[in-house]
Amino acid sequence: MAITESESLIHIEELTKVFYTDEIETHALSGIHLDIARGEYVAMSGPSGCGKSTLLSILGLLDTPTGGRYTLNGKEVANLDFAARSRIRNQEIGFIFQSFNLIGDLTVFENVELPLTYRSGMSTAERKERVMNSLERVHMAHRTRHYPAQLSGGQQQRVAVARALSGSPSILLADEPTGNLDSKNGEAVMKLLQELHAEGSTICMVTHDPRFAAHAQRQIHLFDGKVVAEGELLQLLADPAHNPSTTATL
Amino acid sequence: MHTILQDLRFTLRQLRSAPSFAITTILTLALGIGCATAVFSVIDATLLRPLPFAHQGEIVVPETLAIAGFHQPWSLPSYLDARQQLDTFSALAGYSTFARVNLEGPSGPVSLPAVKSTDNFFTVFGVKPLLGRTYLPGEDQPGRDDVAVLSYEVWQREFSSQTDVVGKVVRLDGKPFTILGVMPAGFRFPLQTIHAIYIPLHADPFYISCRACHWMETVGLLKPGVTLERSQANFNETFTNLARSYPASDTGRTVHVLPLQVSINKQAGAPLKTLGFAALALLSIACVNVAGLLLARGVKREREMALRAAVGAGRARIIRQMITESLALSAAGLGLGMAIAWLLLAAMRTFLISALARGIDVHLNLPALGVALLLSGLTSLAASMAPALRLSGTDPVLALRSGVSTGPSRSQHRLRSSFIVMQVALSMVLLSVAGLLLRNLASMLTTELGYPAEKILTTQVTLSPASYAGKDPIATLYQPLLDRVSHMPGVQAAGFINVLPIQNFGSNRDTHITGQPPYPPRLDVTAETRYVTPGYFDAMGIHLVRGRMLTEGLDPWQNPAGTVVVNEAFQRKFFSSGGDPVGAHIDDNDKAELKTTIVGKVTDIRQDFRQPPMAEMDYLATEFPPKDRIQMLPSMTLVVRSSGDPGQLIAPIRDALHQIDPTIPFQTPETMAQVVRDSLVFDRMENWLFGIFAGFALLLSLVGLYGLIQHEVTLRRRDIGLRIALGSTRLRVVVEVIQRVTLLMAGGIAMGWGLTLALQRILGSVVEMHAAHDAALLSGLTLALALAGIAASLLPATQAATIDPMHALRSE
Repeated sequence: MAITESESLIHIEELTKVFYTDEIETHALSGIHLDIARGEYVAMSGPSGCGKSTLLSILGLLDTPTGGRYTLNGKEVANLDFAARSRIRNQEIGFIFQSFNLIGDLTVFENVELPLTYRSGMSTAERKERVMNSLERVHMAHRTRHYPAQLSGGQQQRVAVARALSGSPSILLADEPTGNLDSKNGEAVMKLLQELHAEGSTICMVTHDPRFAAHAQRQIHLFDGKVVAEGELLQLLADPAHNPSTTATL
Repeated sequence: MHTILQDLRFTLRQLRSAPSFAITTILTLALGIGCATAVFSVIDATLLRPLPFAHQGEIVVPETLAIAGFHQPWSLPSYLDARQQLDTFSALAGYSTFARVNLEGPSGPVSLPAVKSTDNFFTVFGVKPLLGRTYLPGEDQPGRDDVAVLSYEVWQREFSSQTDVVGKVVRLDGKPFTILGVMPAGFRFPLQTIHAIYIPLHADPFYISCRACHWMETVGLLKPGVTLERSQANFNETFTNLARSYPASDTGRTVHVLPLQVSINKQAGAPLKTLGFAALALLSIACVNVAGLLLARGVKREREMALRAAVGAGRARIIRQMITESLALSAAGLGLGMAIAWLLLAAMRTFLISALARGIDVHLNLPALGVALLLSGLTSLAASMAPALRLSGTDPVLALRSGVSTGPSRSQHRLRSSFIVMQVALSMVLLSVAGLLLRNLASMLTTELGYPAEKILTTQVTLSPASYAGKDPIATLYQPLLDRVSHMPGVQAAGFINVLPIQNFGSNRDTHITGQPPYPPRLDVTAETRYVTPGYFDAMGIHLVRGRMLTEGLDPWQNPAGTVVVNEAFQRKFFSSGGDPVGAHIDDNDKAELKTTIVGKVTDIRQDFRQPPMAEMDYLATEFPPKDRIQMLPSMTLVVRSSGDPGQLIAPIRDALHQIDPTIPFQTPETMAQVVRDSLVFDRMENWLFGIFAGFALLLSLVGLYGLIQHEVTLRRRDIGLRIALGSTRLRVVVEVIQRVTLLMAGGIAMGWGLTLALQRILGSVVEMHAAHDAALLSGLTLALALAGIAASLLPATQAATIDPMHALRSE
């Protein structure tokens, strides 16, 4: 089912990203078109170096595109300055990282509270309520005073999810959220994401694991900086002349 | 507010989790802030704080110079004439601090410094007494002048702060004096004279009429609206009149009118300012050191900052957090720094009081705290700015990458390296100054004095003239004491002199040798004049070169013409074109038969530590008729040469003195070595402070250097492991690290030399530098600094060489 621009939470057109190092130009993304609807759960996959993380960085406003359009929640965000991007990241986007990225010197509560401390005008009581709600959603409310080092990997990632949720973002961007977890904890995190989706969250997840990608409503495949259909991707990967190393891995 | 508190909480937690970083940073800041605050306290008390007098801007010191250009105080008749003629002063007071007086207090006699002055002395300062009153006009005249004003300290210490002290009669030098009043705390003049008692001049009749006797200093209060220039012109005119009226004594004398503050700080001002620069240099070193530590720590915190940026922290917010962290560190540094400042000032207290006119006023006070706060704030801002700017620009994409730090950028490497170069440069400057000062002091302390200073014990004996009225103090006190002391075990020789070498000089008179042509008008023709007992020469180890020594048998006071011995410097000064001083006559009387005869020539000793021996004439103390001796010799210094430990003689000498006269206060004896050290108190203080600063600067630079190299080794573990895996020897790894350190040290030392040369004029107020003369010392210091730098890098270099390549490569 096609999503119109007005229905999209994320709408990107002809998005390109070129990295310049010395005299070499690397085209990381080449003319990407993508729409993600509100409440949708999308998985992005593809081989190493295909541009997944670059695309996620741009979607999360951690990076800016070289060309093309990017509309988030109806606002053009492709060419904002650093401060404006920081503000939108804080209010519209929740990140879940592969390596959890919890701050070791902050407690669980403080880690989840962190994005809220960067918002002006929010009362302490409201902040506390939001943090506790988020922790309850990921079943970690009983560990508020613990430090990350006192938690297992799965628990740390749940706290990271709570942090992503605490700001009530428009979209959760997850970068290989199970990459640093064993299969049991990985499954638990995927279940959690499904629960959040069922509650109405919009999720965009990068993963290279087809089992986890299958949890999403829609899968997007990237290859050499372009979005390709699943069949096309398999064909490309099967061609040893095109990508021998990836083929061998597969 | 909440977020600031949160940042603070986070900072404290972070510091707890990185104690070595926290301790190093706090100690570094504390050293810088502590030293700077201590020096500021000294500068504030001595140069900045207003003097404790009303109308201090109008108080001036007229410094009088002899025709030859050296400082020559006033004679009383000249002062009285000038006071009458000058019309630009509300008050011009004369005073002398040469004498001490014996106060017979409830707990026994005590010797106090006396400020003897004219009746308008207190008018100059405009300070109301705490109790009673000060002098009324005419209270410096005989018959009305047995009155005294107590300083606050004397009132507290000797009179237990009794409020009914005014009007009481006390005995000073055996004579009754009425206490007029008590001055408030903080009032004192001259400023270096503490625990003083103020009494009118009580000038000896001889000095009242002697125009050639220069012994009185003056201080004046200008009339409202009178400028310094007008007052100077007024003085010039008055001195011209005096020279016209009294050509023999006043020709060529000039005056230089100085504001009181300038006069007080003339000697110490420039060195103290240089000391201030040294403290700022140390603070700068601390600042760049902390900046380096924060930069290094910033590399470890890149992922944290990337995450903060990723979840929405703007640059300003990250900078604010970094500054909050730095301020927290500097608050701890401030607390510890104040403690260091307090300790430094406590350790320097004796030096400060002896070396600086207002040294006793140096305390850690509110202005010092304010400056310390300002310094710590500025230091923390300066130190955190570069790391904060850098970290606030951390690419948030880094948060997406797993386990990888970008590591320090090239620009950051360059920045930290430049910090090290800067620290080494400033350390080189401080080390050079400290080294030269130490060398100068050492050479002064080992100056050939002409006598064994450690073996010679001295004590001033000041009698109370009123108790000796009508008596001969030599027959009743000095000689009996000498007889007792000379027979004590361990005493090789003993004698008296009226002005002890090193401790004082300047008791001199213009001299002319009979038969020589008149001396050119601008030539210094003064000879130091001393009165001694015969045993003095043996006690000091002064030998006869020609002629004979003075003896009471050959040189009785009844002889109409006096006799003297002179020293070799006297011969050099007055017989430079040849001739023998022995047998020559001093042109001190119109009648040939009454002129003083030079009977002997003796070896030189230094009268002033900083000058070569001066021309000196020594008279026997018994030269004066017995009736005049109490006026001329109210105070003499006993000089005792010991064959053993001079300290063993102190108690027997005290007993001997009190057996003869228990009313005379016993002043704790000092060896001549101690007298020398006392005379070098300012040099020693300078040395001590620059030495400490240089030591701290070196320590901080080495800590900074060690930190940088250690950090580089940690960050390059993988590179180094790879190099070793590819065949590099461990020695080569060490050599590479040391090469880098050598390069940094060379840069720092070169910059340090450049700075030292550029600042030569400022540093010259503390120590003179002569490239050729000081080359060996400065090369030695340079080499020592370079070696210390290399030594500081040996540990990280060794750690680099012992990296296990497999482990290093796997851990990435």
